Amino acid sequence: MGGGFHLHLHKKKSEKQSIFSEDVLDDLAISSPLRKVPAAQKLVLCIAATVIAVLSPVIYLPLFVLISMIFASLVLAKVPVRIYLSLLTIPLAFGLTGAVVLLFVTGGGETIYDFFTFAGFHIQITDKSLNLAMLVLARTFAGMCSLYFLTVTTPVTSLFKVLRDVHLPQEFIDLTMLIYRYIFVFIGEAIDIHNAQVMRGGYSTFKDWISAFSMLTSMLFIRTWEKGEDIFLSMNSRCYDGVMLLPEEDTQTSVKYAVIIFAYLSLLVVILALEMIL
Amino acid sequence: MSDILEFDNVTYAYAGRPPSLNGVSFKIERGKKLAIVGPNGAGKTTLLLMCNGTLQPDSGTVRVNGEHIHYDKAGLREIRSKVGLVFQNSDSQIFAPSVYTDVAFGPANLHLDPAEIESRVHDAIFAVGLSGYEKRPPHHLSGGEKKRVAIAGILAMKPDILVADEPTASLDPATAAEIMDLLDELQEDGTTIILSTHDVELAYSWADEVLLIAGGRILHHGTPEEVFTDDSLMLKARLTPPALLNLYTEFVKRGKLADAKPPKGVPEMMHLIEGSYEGVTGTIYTVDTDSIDEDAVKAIIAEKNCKVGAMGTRPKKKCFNAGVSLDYTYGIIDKAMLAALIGEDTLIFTCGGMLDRVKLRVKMFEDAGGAAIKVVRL
Repeated sequence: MGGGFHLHLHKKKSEKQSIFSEDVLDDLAISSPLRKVPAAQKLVLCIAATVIAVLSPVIYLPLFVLISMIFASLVLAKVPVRIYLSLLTIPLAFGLTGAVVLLFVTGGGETIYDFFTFAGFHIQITDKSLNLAMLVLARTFAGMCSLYFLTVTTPVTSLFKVLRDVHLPQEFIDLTMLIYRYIFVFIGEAIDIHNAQVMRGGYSTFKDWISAFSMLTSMLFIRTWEKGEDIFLSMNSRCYDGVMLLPEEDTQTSVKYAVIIFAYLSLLVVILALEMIL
Repeated sequence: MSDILEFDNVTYAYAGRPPSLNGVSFKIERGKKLAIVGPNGAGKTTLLLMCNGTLQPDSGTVRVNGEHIHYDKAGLREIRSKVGLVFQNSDSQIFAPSVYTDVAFGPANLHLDPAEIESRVHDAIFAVGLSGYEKRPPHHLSGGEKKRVAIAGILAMKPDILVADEPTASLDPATAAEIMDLLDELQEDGTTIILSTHDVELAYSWADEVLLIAGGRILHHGTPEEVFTDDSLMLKARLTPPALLNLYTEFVKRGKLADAKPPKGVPEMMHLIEGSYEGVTGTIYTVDTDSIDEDAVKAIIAEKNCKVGAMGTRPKKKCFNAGVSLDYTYGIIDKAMLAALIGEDTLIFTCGGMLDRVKLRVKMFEDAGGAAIKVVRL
């Protein structure tokens, strides 16, 4: 039956999702076809691929990681292209800014293009600066795409068990769970306050913007405080004695995924070794 | 019957404020349904927080099962395992990352063994009709579903008393009615239910007893009929009488109705207005779904070919699994009685103690002078 019976209580979901709806990443992860792959394996894949990509001295390995992670996210995890692209625009802005700075502030090698000379400084692009900028950009995106792969296939709830398995303190995990839960409550609160402000003409001028935004943040702080007291009361009402259960995950205990991930990571290491040697 | 909860001259003031409760004394018997009704700021929530020892009275005592609450750690744990509190705001109450872990929170902290925890959690989630929702994170639930999870979290602790603060506030009417049906079902299983509300309609039709409070004092403790027909009480408590009673008193004032017993529900009101029916032709068929399978449900519906309702979580689930579309999912008995009065049959799928509730309700109608409606158990 699996969730069919619920006494006429449906939550209406809008058809169109954008990254600005508060829980789109969570939705994607929960409905992901790769959800059943054990979270620890996906976490290892994500971290190892990122580290290997960053170690690479040339652009080819990060590009390979980048492309394979995009393939995995779009084809294997079936993430809608539109959402994936809009997710990528966030790091793109930061990545490009950094790359442009690197392009001009580092030097060496042949000059490719000389813009102008200012007070004895050459504002120019050299082949080394171009290479470095490209490499940094590729590494950034290889890391981001690996992280996105983890994000869109792994619900946060299934990571709590991994945290326990690596022996993080119980208190830390309990706090993580509470924080995860209340992120969504406070996003909702922030949206409500923001709407109430916009409805009454807030944010119309720069000065208004400053005062309205400061009001929003201070109000949010007070709300979080109050909510914290409510939670404490609620936990005590249910006999809190230091126990919080971890969510159960029905992951498939299959070696198939482990083998695939191992093969992929081995391939990366081989490419890395080749790059280092050649 | 024994008194399960007793307040004796309880006074309480939040620091630096005038008293929120001022000499409150009342008792409630085991298995009753008590509605605490009063205007905003009357002290309803303060009173409820006293029930599980969250607040300690400045003076006076609170007794649960005849014993004083001990306000030390062990004593409070004891009380809180007996008195379950459902908060008004479900978001404050549900703090775990999934439905299952939230419902399991109470039992786990009572240090029950894992098998017991699991069975209690499954039972509680099933009882509130959310089977299949175990792995959902709370922010993927609607308001009504969150309220059900909050109630399940308390049910899993198997309390003697369930205390709910405004359980139907901010729910749509059908969901609110279903939550109230759920509370009825729990009461049927022996839990004492106390809720606070300023919804007079709900308090009137649902409660066995009403505790009317305003300004931290008890104005009246009695049956819903006593409380809601007293205009001066209504005025003092800033409440309006339920529409049904309002209509009734206006009819009586105009001499259109004999000054009979105030009507409990719409069937009684119709009876008062129209007089007794000569030939009541409609029948209410009740079916115990615990003893039949889904095919039998379908067969019965095909045979009777009339309006169908289900009462209770298990019967509703059985009907859902049988692919039956229900005409009534809440307030079923009154609707079935009204249908019977105009010659229509109704089929009610239900189970356990709720089978008797149909008979009791019909009997109550008869006792109020109404026509005898045939209730046939299939």
